[in-house]
Amino acid sequence: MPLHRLLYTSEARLSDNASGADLMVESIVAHSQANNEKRGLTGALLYVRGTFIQALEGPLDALENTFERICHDFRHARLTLVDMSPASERMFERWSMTYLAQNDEPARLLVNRDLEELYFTVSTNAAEAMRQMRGLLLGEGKKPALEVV
Amino acid sequence: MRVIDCIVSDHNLWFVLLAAITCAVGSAVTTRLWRQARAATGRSRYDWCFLSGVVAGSSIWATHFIAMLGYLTPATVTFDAVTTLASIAVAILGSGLGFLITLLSPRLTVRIAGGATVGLSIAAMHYIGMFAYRVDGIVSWDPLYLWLSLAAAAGISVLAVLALDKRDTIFRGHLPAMLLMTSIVLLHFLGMTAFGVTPLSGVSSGVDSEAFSAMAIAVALVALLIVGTGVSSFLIDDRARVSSESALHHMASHDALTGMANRLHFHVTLAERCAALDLRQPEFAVLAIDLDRFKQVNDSHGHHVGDEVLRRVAHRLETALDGAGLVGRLGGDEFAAIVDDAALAEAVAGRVVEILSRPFLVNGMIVDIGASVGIAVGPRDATDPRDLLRNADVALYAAKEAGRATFRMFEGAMVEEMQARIALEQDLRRAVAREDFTLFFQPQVDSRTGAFTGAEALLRWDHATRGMVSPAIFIPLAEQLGLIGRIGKWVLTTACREAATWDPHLSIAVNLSPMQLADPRLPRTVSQVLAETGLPAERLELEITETALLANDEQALSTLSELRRMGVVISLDDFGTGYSSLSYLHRFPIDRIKIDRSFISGVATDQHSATIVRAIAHLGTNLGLKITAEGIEDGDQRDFSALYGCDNLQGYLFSRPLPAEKLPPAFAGRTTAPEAA
Ligand SMILES: Cc1cc2nc3c(=O)[nH]c(=O)nc-3n(C[C@H](O)[C@H](O)[C@H](O)COP(=O)(O)O)c2cc1C
Repeated sequence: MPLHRLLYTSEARLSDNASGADLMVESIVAHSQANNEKRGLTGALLYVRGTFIQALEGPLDALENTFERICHDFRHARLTLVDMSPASERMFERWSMTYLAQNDEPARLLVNRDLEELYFTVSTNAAEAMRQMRGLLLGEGKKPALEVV
Repeated sequence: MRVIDCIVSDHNLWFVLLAAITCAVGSAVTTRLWRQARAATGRSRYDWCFLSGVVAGSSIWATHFIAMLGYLTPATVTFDAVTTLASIAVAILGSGLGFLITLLSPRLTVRIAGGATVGLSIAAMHYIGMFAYRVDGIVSWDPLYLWLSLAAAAGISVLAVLALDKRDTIFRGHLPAMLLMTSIVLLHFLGMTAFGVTPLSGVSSGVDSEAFSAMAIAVALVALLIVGTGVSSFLIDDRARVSSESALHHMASHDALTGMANRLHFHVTLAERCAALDLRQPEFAVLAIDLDRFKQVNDSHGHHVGDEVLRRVAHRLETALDGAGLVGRLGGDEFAAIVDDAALAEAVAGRVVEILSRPFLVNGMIVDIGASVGIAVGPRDATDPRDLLRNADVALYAAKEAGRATFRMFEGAMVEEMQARIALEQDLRRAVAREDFTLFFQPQVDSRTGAFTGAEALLRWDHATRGMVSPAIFIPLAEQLGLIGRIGKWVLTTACREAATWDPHLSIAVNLSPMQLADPRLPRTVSQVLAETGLPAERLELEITETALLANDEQALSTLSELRRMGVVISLDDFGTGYSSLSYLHRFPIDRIKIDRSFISGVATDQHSATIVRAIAHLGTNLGLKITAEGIEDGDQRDFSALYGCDNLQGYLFSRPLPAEKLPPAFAGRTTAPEAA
């Protein structure tokens, strides 16, 4: 089964209160990690300005099935598929689904800035956006475990 | 009443009771199997008849045998094994045959013959069984009861056959079984009444009662086993039938491709829902759901992919409904839903639109469709299922008109809007068929010399009752209706034919709609028209808009390049209003840009507009493009445009659009410029 990779953005439709929203994201990430591990999928999920940016890669069948399930999910809306193409190798092989979001900590100013930049790159250049995502995550030293920031 | 006397005084009543139970159960099972045989067709009908025969025969035999064991005889008794077995064979085959005959034909005589065969088989069994009954005594037969028994058995069996086809309410369908049982019992005891034994003296009388009872129970058990087998075979078949019936029901009410409710099921449910409206049920909603762009999926990816997408659409619709009601496929790419609580209708419709706006990934391909939804609420918008669906369709139409990928609630005014639009569509079709259009021509002048350089052809539709219909209204409609090709061809031909009569230095500009440009046959059409009208390609200028390039730029590029090679001039219309990406000017073979009138009107008064016009003209000139300024209404605008490098001018200042016949005099009347300032 040939390897494919996709990138999409969507608007989050999370709970109105902050802790509820955090819980929803936590649950999404936890389920994603468990499911993706089983299906041989890897990827990353970013959350910037109320927008999810997700890269997902793996065998075509598993990728299409999981994407279809994601398309059944009403915790987000206005989903835009930015890219979907065959890939020769994985870019996110370290993570079944890693998660990175903006937050208010002053120490994370740079990460916040990078995420902001990505938010704009995504709509113009998918390949570049995914390279930036990978670079950012590697720089963050993201481990394959869930890490809500 | 010798019969009763015979039963009561000559029999052990316990045995009689056991015999009666055996007979009752056997008769009941027999009639069920018999009914089964009647319902069956082909080979299985014979199997069922055989099975009925086995059960009937063994019940008759067991009844007889048990009763005989209870027969109190003063003499010693033995049974002849071979004859006893022969009697059961006769009972089975005879009654099986009888059942078969009853089913051969619905004719009365045939059914009577069948019933009689059953009855006589019972009798035959009994009397053969009696031969097997060896007593040490003198046996005598009373012919009256003997004949009576035969008549009763045959007659009552015939009645049982006839009862099988009657709907009886009193005995709830048990009448045939009761008659069959009566026939067996009556035969037995009439036969036993006819039978008499006088014991031989000196021989010990009676039988070994213990051995007898054991035998009776053994026989009864065997008989019950057989009957039980019959019962279970009946039940197995019945269960199989129920499950195949429910499978059939499922098939009839569900769509084979998606497994969701089909049109029939949907309509039945909707009708039920409407019928329940009288019962003060809360308002409910009907959603008409139509996929946008689904036809293209089938066309470009094949039915395989189309079917897979439909399956997934069905699944997504179930998710969007989330138990709020029923969703079904009415056919093709047409779906509908009943939302039980009208208050949720808009939320559900929004979810439907949202979930179907998301892409489908099928075999590595991206399939983008979308959905429009129309909502009608019962009983507010209608109470009849047909009207509700129709109103939902009207709302759906409005949703599509509003640009698709959205939903609309039904409103009364929509009906009129839709009718108006349909009327306009019809008028437009008629106009196209009759070529009921006219061309006007607006002259263009050289900004330096003031001499006429040609004209732009403008399409007019002057309708008998509507008056002048704007191209802004009917051109998009013509595109939607697939009429644009014919209209475009007519415009091109008419304009070229007209221009061919003009002075050879005058050119003609013709507008192309985006859809015309997207048609790969365009270059061929153009060259045909040129050949037909004799107009040189250099005198034809085709005006395109940026939108046309945006939509399909590979196709547009190759079409334009080919037109360019033929010598046709390409100009970019309405420049400055759209995306105005400068990359178009670079990528596409464009000879001329036309600056939109909205900028020209402001040059004298508005710094901003003036700057834009100057910039465009400057840019165009540097790229080696010709520039036309549109909408020149006064001398200031003319002077400004001329000064900053627009080489062609067009506007009311020079001439309004003119009908074809006024054009040559206009061209002749003033071939020199009005005094430039
Ligand atoms: C933004 C977003 C991203 C998601 N990413 C994934 C994913 O990568 N893998 C996954 O299995 N589910 C993902 N989900 C969750 C699915 O939509 C769905 O809820 C989940 O697969 C169901 O998992 P379960 O069967 O374990 O309940 C995502 C959901 C959202 C909203």
